Amino acid sequence: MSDVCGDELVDVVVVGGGPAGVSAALAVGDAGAEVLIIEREDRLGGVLKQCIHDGFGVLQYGERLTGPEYAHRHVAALKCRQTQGGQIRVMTGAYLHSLRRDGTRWSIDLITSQGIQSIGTAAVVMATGCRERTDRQIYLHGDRPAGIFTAGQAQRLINIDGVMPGRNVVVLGSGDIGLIMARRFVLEGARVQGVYEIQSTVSGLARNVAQCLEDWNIPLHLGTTVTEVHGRNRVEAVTVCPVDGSGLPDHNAAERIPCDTLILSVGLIPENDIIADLGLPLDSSTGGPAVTQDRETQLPGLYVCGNALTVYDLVDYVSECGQAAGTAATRGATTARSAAAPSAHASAGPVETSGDIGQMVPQLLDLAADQPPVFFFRVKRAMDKATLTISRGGVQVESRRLTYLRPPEMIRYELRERAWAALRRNPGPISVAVEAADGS
Amino acid sequence: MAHRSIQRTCIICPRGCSLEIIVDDDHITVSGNECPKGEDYGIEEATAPRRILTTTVQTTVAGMPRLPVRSVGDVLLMEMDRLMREIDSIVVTQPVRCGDLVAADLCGIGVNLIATDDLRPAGPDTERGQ
Repeated sequence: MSDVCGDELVDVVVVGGGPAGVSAALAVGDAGAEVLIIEREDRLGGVLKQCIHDGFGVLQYGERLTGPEYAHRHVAALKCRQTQGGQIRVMTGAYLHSLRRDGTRWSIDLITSQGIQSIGTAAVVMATGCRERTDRQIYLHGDRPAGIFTAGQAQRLINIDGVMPGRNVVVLGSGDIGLIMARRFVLEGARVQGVYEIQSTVSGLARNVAQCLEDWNIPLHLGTTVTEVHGRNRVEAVTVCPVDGSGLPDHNAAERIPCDTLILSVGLIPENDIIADLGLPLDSSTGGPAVTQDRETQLPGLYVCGNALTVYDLVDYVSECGQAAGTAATRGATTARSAAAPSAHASAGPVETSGDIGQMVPQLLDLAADQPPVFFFRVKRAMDKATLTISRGGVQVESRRLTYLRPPEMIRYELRERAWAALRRNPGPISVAVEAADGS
Repeated sequence: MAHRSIQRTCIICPRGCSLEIIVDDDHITVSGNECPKGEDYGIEEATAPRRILTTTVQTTVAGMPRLPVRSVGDVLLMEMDRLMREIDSIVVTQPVRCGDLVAADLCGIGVNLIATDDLRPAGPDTERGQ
């Protein structure tokens, strides 16, 4: 029983009502355009709703808020803007089914409780977040009984639904949500046997190792992984093994650990399946498409922001990213109405990264933009001292000393006015590099 | 009191120094820190570590079985278990707003608990795909 409505027209459609999407919508509202947020859940806030721990918004608000408090501020700002006459609409319980380029605009099909609905828009901002890597994606051996959860699933079960997933827990992977859930399980009276990480370093932030594991005496086993799951109906035990330098498990040192629950915190994947269908290649280091500093993809009028673009470590950066996309999408939408859409890509050049940069956004620079771009990047290895250099055509326009770089931490670097002017002026390819300085 | 050694990761900056904190009868030595901030942090960690307590409480409001809450200000880490046991018995039966007081003076140690989200009966407050 589908009910296909007539095409509705909106200036900007934002897909996803988490921090990136709400920030993008607020930016569109501020610029005076009309915006519609599409959210699949019943409430805005995205994953923040289940992140009840504190530490959010330190950069943006100067306070350590909990996830729901941060989301609450965003939603309050949205409602305030609505009462002031801002054309911000929110549609919940609505799924994006497909999107396609339709002449000079985008056509979006949604699945809602009322059926299928089509919307036309000049600009689409994808703020779809990321999803967790599962047991299938890490080739975990053994049985598949009940009791295997991703950290985010367990977080939702405990914090939103009020259900304990288990009482005797092993955590595989040292991502931030895994560390936070290890503490959450202990606080709720469960036993956490340990956190096992195949790498030789932790993948979560140092503060989470301190406040989630050390505070609660939860053992951390680096260079160790789960090689097999045992259990008929429910998880009964896991086998853990240390690994050698090449990641191969040493089965002679295997240990069987009785437990009823295995929690996986083994990585996050930006959610881009729908736009991948449009033929947009994904950057293999970020998992998102290549974008300009405006978060515009190589398809004019299609923007990607937040964790769908690259997995950030701080929500403040996610919101900043959403805001940049929303502001640019408004500009794109209003110029598209008046003239043939001028794509920023006409004046955009690719940015090459080298040295110890592991991933970076933006991957393209729109050199016609007056405002200097902000780079977000991660390094491949820990370095106490390093030098960031930015050059074009072999001419260096910026060089900066950076200290205490750690792979889990994202680095935000705002290019200075003078360097940006030089970068725009010089010809040739643009490159950004991070090299370890002496003694690092 | 005997000699005691504690390992901590300093969280003052991203460097994350591995601190070793030695506690003797009347004095504390911190090593492994690269700056004076690490020493202050180490001493506080060894004497009276404090954290914000964040958890959830049970509700009887349809569609939202748990309400997230936090302590107002930080609490002693060593009091957390006791506080959690008392929080276990709290049931919220009325709608509350983010920031409202949920429980006062927990365990008689002056810890107040506030809601970190609105609690209201489930129902769309936005359009639902029409």
